[in-house]
Parts: sequence; structure tokens; C-alpha cells
Amino acid sequence: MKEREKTVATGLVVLMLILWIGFLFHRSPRFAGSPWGGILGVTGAMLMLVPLAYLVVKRIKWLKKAITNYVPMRTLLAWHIYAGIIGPILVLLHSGHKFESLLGIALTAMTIIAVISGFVGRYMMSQFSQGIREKKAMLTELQAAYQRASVELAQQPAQAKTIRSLSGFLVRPIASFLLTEDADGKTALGPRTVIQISESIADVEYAIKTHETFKQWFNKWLKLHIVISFILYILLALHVWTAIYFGLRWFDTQPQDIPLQRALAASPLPALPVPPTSTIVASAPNEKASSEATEEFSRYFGDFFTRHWRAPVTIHGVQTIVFDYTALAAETKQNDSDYSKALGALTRVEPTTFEGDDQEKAFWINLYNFGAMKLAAENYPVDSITSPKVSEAGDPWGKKMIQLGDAAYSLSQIEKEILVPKFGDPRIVFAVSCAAVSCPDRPQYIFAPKTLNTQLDDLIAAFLTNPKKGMRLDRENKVLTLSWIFKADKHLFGEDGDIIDFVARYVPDETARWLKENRTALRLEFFEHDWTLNDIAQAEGQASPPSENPAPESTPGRGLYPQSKAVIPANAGNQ
Amino acid sequence: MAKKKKSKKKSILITAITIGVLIVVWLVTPGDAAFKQVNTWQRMTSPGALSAAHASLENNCAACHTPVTGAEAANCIACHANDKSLLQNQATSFHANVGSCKECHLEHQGRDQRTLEMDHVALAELGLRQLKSNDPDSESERVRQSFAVLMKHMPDAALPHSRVVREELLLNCTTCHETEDPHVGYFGDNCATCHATNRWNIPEYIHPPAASLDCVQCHKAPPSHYMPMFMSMCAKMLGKSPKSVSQCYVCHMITGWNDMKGAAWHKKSMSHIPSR
Repeated sequence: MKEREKTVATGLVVLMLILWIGFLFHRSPRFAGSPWGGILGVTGAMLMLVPLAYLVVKRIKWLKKAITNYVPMRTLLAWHIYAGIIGPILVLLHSGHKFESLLGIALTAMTIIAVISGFVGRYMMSQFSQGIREKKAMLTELQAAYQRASVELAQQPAQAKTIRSLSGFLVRPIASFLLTEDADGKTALGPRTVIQISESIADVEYAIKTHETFKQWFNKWLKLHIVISFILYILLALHVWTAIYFGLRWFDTQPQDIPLQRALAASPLPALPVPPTSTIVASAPNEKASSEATEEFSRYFGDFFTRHWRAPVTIHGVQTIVFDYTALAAETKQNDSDYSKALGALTRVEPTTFEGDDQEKAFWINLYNFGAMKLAAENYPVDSITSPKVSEAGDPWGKKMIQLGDAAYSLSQIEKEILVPKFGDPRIVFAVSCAAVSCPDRPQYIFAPKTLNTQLDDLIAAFLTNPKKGMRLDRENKVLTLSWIFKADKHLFGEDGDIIDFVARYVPDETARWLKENRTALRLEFFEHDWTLNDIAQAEGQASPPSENPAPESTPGRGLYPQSKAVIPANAGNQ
Repeated sequence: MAKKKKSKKKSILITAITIGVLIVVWLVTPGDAAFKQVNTWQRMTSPGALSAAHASLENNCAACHTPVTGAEAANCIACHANDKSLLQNQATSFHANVGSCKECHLEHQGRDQRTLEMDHVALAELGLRQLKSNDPDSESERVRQSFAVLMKHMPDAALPHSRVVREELLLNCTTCHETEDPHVGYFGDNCATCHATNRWNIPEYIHPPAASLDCVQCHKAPPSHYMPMFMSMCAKMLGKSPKSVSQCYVCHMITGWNDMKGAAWHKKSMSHIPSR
């Protein structure tokens, strides 16, 4: 009977432990509150109360007497054991392996500890008693053998002498190695056997002592088991109470008829604590911080770009948009200006985290333009960024002067190592501004990922309408004069014919047709590149608007150019 | 017997000392010590961290939980009622009278989790609940009854595919999703034929064969295709010459609108078309 009970109980305890360890592989946070989870939880808790009933019956004499008339105490104990293991198994299932709250974790831990303490007390302790009984019997046998041996030895003085010589403190531990096999065969008990017996006696005595110590400890198991169980019941009560107090989900199918207005009237708005934003930012992952910094850069750069942008003026006979570099240079010296904030944001940019190609492309183009303006503004007053004041070696583009995260970039790095090889888009070379009169006119807004494609096309189309720096077509002599950029970056376009094809995409249909027809006969020439800074201070005559006026209002996207309205020809669509 | 008495004395002594120490600790520590706050103890029962947006309510269980009844919609609405952009957006305006929150908005899922888990069945059930009326002759109750009958007696074969459940068929997809219909109404309003609520494409739907020429039955060309330059230039750039815009199949393939015959995924030539 007891053997079977033990086997079943062991199996159930092992099952419980396996169920608990299951949290490593499975979690179902919503299960505990679902109807089935609830049924498991309530049933498990009820079963866990059965052991408490046993405790009460056992302690109260008249109750015990009354009940044992019908059910023997032994059966009650069996109920105690089975209910005390199956209950915890059910509540472990109920938990759905969601061990989140401190109370839940403590409750689960106490359940398992209570079961294990009960199990150990009931089955391991009897093991110890059994062990001690067996060892005591063995000890008695050994002692008898020893008695016999010592009597025999007393009759053989020679051998007794041998043993006596080995009784020294140091020799004793190795005595059995020094003695040879008892050779004479007549007497069964030689010196070697006697020594071995005495060693065995010492071993068994020690083992018994250890076992008894353990047994004493485990004698206290019942008290421990009761204390643990009481803590468990307290936690269980708390758990049930909080589950009810914070709202059970099982009965939640009644409609909550709360049209908005009525609910509003019923509950006035409570004052909400404002979450500390600093902690939210601090906890944000690196990637997020970087993309935020990227946006921040675009915002500040965009502001200061638009603020200093001025409508086209004429410099050295060439019409060009300009910037108010005097104001711009002043801004570089202030710590809280948009310029400084943009620069600050850049140091937090991790240039590997972009959301899509367009965002990356727009960022690097804007960064290049920012860098070109930075070169001029920081060394202002200058006439050109090729001035020795900017770079003594005459190579302003090779100067590493933009700090991104922990690396410094130069303009030519941005253009030749990142933008062109990565995107292979020849339109890029028009978008990166060399801060010079002969460069394509920039719209009043910086490039944005969403409108990048249109912005680039518009930029080139507008550029090619400028007969002084973009494109001039002499139909009589069949000479096409193009911007110096086509020459400098010829490898991006290919042969002369490819350049013409490229140009034809951005000019009015009629011109495009003419270009195609005369593709082979055309001779290509290129404008002289004027490196003069596109600074409003360089403007000739009174073509410039007063610099204290803000830049003209305009919408981002298409049609940014005051002078480019004729560029998209009216007949483009009705051919 | 004497031993038993002694051990009883001992245990009483231990209990007395423990209680005494606890009382002393309580008296000695300042009044605002953490363990004297109800919040500290309440927090131990928290089944998981709140989402970042609600983090400020972490110590204030009563902000959402009404004792015994639990997390009530009224407590959510108290703060979220004046979310105008939510209520003025067609896709989300149903929140105005849905009257319940926790079916789809779960909390205590961890700090970095959003509180949204859209459950279309729950939405349908909420709608049915609202139709419920004590007056059996009322309009809403009759509608509810007819829905109930429909759900009860609808044969499995009437479901377009097994990814859709009966309750979801009660919902009118366009009420919320009209603005995001990329078919601009061309495919009708029986979305469940091709879509499910938990995924966009379903393997049950099979496109007509690639050799089919009736694309225009469902597909509509974008405005750019009706511009004069389209026939003269764009189509020719691909080396194709469709007779009319309705001959989609001359250039396009069924794998995707920008998978063009003979042009592969030629990004550069299509650079004026915004990538999706």
C-alpha cells in the first residue's frame, strides 16, 4: 500500500517539477484569466485546502475522534498527499507560466517548496531510519568478528607483536598496505584482517553518526512543512483577493453601455502626472536616438537654409540664387543658432541607420550642401570656397570637417565614396552644391526623402533653362554648350551622345526632338566654371532684394523656382 | 512532558521576539518608508509593466481598475475622450461609440509593447451587444436577431474561406478601411474573398492565369497612363506598343505592376515613379 502511494506521489511530484520548468519554453500570459484558466485555478486552490483540513482534524481531539469513526487516519493522510500534489499541478497549469508579479512568483515558489518539503518529510525520512537500522545491524556483526579476532590474536604473540608495531599515529593509516597477505592459511584471522575489520567498524560508526544528524534535522521537517504551508495559505489568500479586487475577466461578457458623452459626464478628467520625458529619451535605443538626430539635423539645417536663401540675382553676368553669407557667418558664431544645433545633432547621427534609400540619399546630399556652406561661412569673408583662406592646399573638398558620430567626413568622401557609388544616380552631382555661381540653383528648401525624386528632376530641368551656366543651344552652328559639371563628371554619363540623351529628358519636347535628330552632328562645349561664392554681397547692381526681407513664401515640392515657371512647358502634355 | 512544555515556551518566546522586532522596525523607520506605502504592496501584484505611454500610471492602480469590477472603459475614456484626431478619422471613428476598450487594448504586456491587438471578432461582438435591447420590437433588437439567425444557420460552404469566421462577416470592411482600398472600389466590397483579418494576402485566392487579357475587369490604370506622352513615350521606352491603355498585359505582368515585360526591375528608367 505504502509502496504504491510512494510511486504515485513521486511520479506526480516529478510531473509538477516538469510543469514548472515548462516556463522556459512556453508562456501564455492571458491564460490564467481565461475561463479555463479560472477553472483550473479555483479547482487547484480548493484541492490545496484539503491538506489544511487534515491538519485541523489531526490536532482537534473531538473532531479526530468523530471522523476516524468513519475514515481511518491513514486514508486521510493519503487524501492529504494526493490533494497536496494534484492541487499544485493544477495551479501551475493555471499560471500559464506567466511569472511576472512578485506575488505570483512567491506564490508559485511557496507552492513548490511546500510540496517538496512534504514529499521529503514523508518518504526520505523513512529512508534514513531504514538506513540507520541496516547499518546498526552491520556494526553488530563487525564487532563480533573483531572480538573473535582479538581473542585469537592474544594466543599468537608473534602476530600481536606485528600489529603493535603498526599502532603508531603515522603508520596506522597505511598499515594495511605494509602487511602482506596472511600467508599461513591455518588461522583465518591474520593481522591484516584484524586491521581491516577495525577500519570497517570506524567507517560504519561514522556513517551512523552522519545519518543520525540528518535524521535530527529531518525531525524538524513537520514544523518546517507547516510553517511553509501557512505562508503559502497567506499568499494564496492575497492572490485571490487581488484577483477579485482588480477585476476578474471571467464574467466580463455583459455589455458596458457607455456612450461617450455619458461616460464623460460621469467621470471628470483626473489630473494626470506628466511622464518625465528625459527618462523616455534616455531609455531609447541607439538606433532611435540616431534617427531622431537625423531628423533634428534636417529640421535645423532646413530652417537656416531657407532663412538665408535669396531669390536670383546676377553675379558676373550669370543669374543665380544666392545666400546671405554675412548673416550665415554670424550664425556660425552663436551657440544656440540653428547652425550650431544642426552641427550638434550631427555628432549624434549613426550613419548606418536609415529608413530606406531615399532617406539616406537625401541625408547625404543635404549633408554635403551643409558642409559646403560651412566651409564658406566659417572662413567668411571669402570670395570662393577655392580660396586659400579655406584650404591652403587648394583642396577644400578633401578637408575632413564634418563630424558624424565619431568619424570625420570630407565633401569628396561624401560625394565620391558614398553618394555616387551607392546610388549610381547621375542626378546627384547636380544636387550637391559647390557653393559657387556656376552651380545649379537650389530650391528654397532642402531635400526631403519623400519628394527627393521630383526635387532632383526639377532642379536639373530648371538648371538647363539657364543659358549662362546650364545649357545654351546654338541650332545654326549645332553647338550645345553645357555646364562644366557634365565635363567634370563625364564618367557618370558616358559618351557625348549619352549626355545629349540625358539632357533631352529635361528639356521641352520640341528641343528634345531636335536634339535627338541632330544627336550625331552636335558639338559639345562647356561653360567656364565660375567659382565665385553665391553670396548676395557679390551681386551686381540692384538686382538683389533687400537682405533683411525674409525669403519669398513658397510651397515645398514642385514649382520652387521663381524663374523656372517657363521650364515645364505648357505643350509638354498636349503633344 | 516537561520537554514538550519547554519547547512550547521556546516557540512562544520566538514569536514574541519576532513581533517585537517588527513593531520596533515600524516605529523607528520614517513615515514615508517604501514598505509603509500601499503602492509598494500593490505593485507586487502587478502582472507586468505597463506600456511606455501609460508608464506614469504604474503606481496608480486605481486610475484604471475600479475595485471588483476591474479595468472599466469609463476609466480609459476619462483620459482618451478628447482625442479628436482619432474620432475624426474615418478609419478610427468607430471608437466614438464602441464603448469598450480592453477587448483590443491589452495592458501589462511590457514597457516596450504597444497596447493594441486588433480583434475583429471582439469588434463584431461589441456591435451585437450594442444592438441588444429589452424591447423585442425595437429596430435594433430585430437587426440583432436577424444577425443571430444568420450566424447560426449560415453553412460552412457560405464562408469564402476558412480564415474568416462568421462574426467577422457581420462587419463592413469599408466602414474603416475604405481609405486604404488600393483597388479604388474596382474589386467591390466583398473584401473577404481575397483578404483575411489577420493577413493581407491569402493563399486561397489565385490570380487568373498570366495569359488572361481581361485585366481591366479589376484593374484601373493610373492617371499618368491617360496623358498624351504615355502612348508616345513611356510605352515606347519599353519597346512596347499597346493599342490602348486597357491593354495592360502588353507591358505589365501579374507578379506586380512594376514588373514590366522586358524591362525587369529597371530602377533607373522608372526613377520618376515613386517606389512603394
